[in-house]
This record gives sequence, C-alpha cells and structure tokens, in this order.
Amino acid sequence: MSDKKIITKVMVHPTEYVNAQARHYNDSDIGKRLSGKNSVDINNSQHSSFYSSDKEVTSTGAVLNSGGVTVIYIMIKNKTNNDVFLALDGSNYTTKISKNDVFSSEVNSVSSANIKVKTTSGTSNVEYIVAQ
Amino acid sequence: MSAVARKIQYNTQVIPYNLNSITPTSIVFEEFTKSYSSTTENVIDSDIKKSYGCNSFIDVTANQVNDKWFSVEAKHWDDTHETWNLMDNKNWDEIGEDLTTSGEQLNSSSTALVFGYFKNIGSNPILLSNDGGSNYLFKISVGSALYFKASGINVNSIYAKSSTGTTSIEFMVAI
Repeated sequence: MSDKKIITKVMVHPTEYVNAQARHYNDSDIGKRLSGKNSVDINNSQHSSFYSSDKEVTSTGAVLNSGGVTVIYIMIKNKTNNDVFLALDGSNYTTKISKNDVFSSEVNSVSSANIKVKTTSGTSNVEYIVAQ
Repeated sequence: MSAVARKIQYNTQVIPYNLNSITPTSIVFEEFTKSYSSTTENVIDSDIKKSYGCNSFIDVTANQVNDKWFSVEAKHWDDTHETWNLMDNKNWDEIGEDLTTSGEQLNSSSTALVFGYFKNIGSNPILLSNDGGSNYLFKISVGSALYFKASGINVNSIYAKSSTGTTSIEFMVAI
C-alpha cells in the first residue's frame, strides 16, 4: 500500500443571468452545483522532478517530469499572467490554464515525456505535481 | 439551452498527503493503564509541504449548442431548497450517460469547446478522450470529477468510455 496520496476536490457552478433580478442564479438547464472528490494513491518513490513550486514556462513546449516514467496524476497551477497550455500527447496543447487556475486530473498511464506545457507568447510560472 | 448570459464558477482544492504510522503506546495512570493501538494519520506531504487551490469563473455562450450540452443527475426532491420547478424537465432515463468499453461521442456539435466538466457517477473508471476517440488520456475514477478549459478542440472531439464493464457519466460541454 502506498504511503502517499493526493486528494482533489472540485466544484463547478453553472449560472445564468436573470434580467429581472440583475444577477446570476443556478443555471436553469442544469439546476445545481456540480462536484466530485478523488483520492489517488501515488508511488512512495517519485522522480526528483515530480513536483516544483516554481517552474518557468516559455512558448517552447517543455516536459515537466524528466524522469521518463508512467504518470497517473497531474496538477498544474499557473501563478502568473500568461495563459499556459498543456499537452498530454506531446504535441496537442488542448487544455488552457489561466492565471491563478489549477488544473488537476488522473491520467491514463501517460508517459511523462509527453506531458508538456507552453505559453503562446512570453513566459509564465507554474507550480506542478506530475506523479507516477 | 437559451439564456440571457451564462457564467460558470469553478474551484479546485488539491492536498498531497503522506500516510504516517502511529506506533502503539500506553499511558500509565495512577489507577489504570490506557493503551492505544497502532494507527495511521494523514499529514501534508513532507516533500511538497503545501496544498493548492483556485476559485474563479468563466463566461460561456448564453445559447448553448443543443439540448445535449449537459447530462446531469437530478437532485433528490428533498435534497434542496432550490428552484426545482425551474429545472429542465428530463425523464429519469435521460439523466447521466451510460458508457461501455466502446468510445461514445458525448455531443456531435462541431462548435469550439470552451469548458468541459465530467463526473463518474457509475461503478467503474471512465477514460476520456479529447481528440475524437483516438487517445483516452484522462481517467476519472468513481465519484471523481474533472473540468478543464479547452483550447483548439471542438465539442464533438470529446469521447468517453468505461475502462471495464459499464459505468455512467455526468457531463457538461459548454461553448
């Protein structure tokens, strides 16, 4: 049994604007807040680059965990102004992480060499966990 | 699916833990001895030493692509004081989406995806693809939820399947 785990809680609240009250209410299609909780057991032994509290991201795609390992969980927090884009397949940057946003997910046995981040212009700084 | 304006608030909390073992111990009082058995407790990971979080919102299009822009489990009638009578009317068998080990497209719209939310409300892990079913790189365990802001992909590129057997997904794909 692993001695390390990561607990993640997410909440998503879809709302819609109502003119008469001039405010947002629960979205009338969806009707409620959405949420989930996850606990992932990660290996006790991790590569030395499995986390960082300050990694600079440029417009050139960069691998976060250089260990060449199979990853089961990722968390990235964008600390600065420019949007950060994440690829899980090494080439398609399909997830956008805005300033101060946290993206986290279990991943389906993805190679760490394929987990890359970049900006579209300028630099940004992220905190991350890329765990096996 | 039509509205004056729509906004989605989202937040995430991530806490890395170590599981510490507590060894058995005994405290000898004057009149008796109190024994404590071995146990474990979660403490913040000694390498990372912190938790992470965010709380923000995103504006999405007021008029969504079609009625299939969401499939959400309804609340039980006595779970809420919210406006149940204003909720979208769905039959019980239209709530959530059943999945098998064959990939299923969640919505056929070719409009650009802005925000996606997915929750596993079934009993087996879900694998999620954002490239039309070629690669299932995201995993959603039972009871877990995943959301992301999308970049350069369309609504119809989202596919989901069960890793084994069958399961169910709750989702929202907003433009």
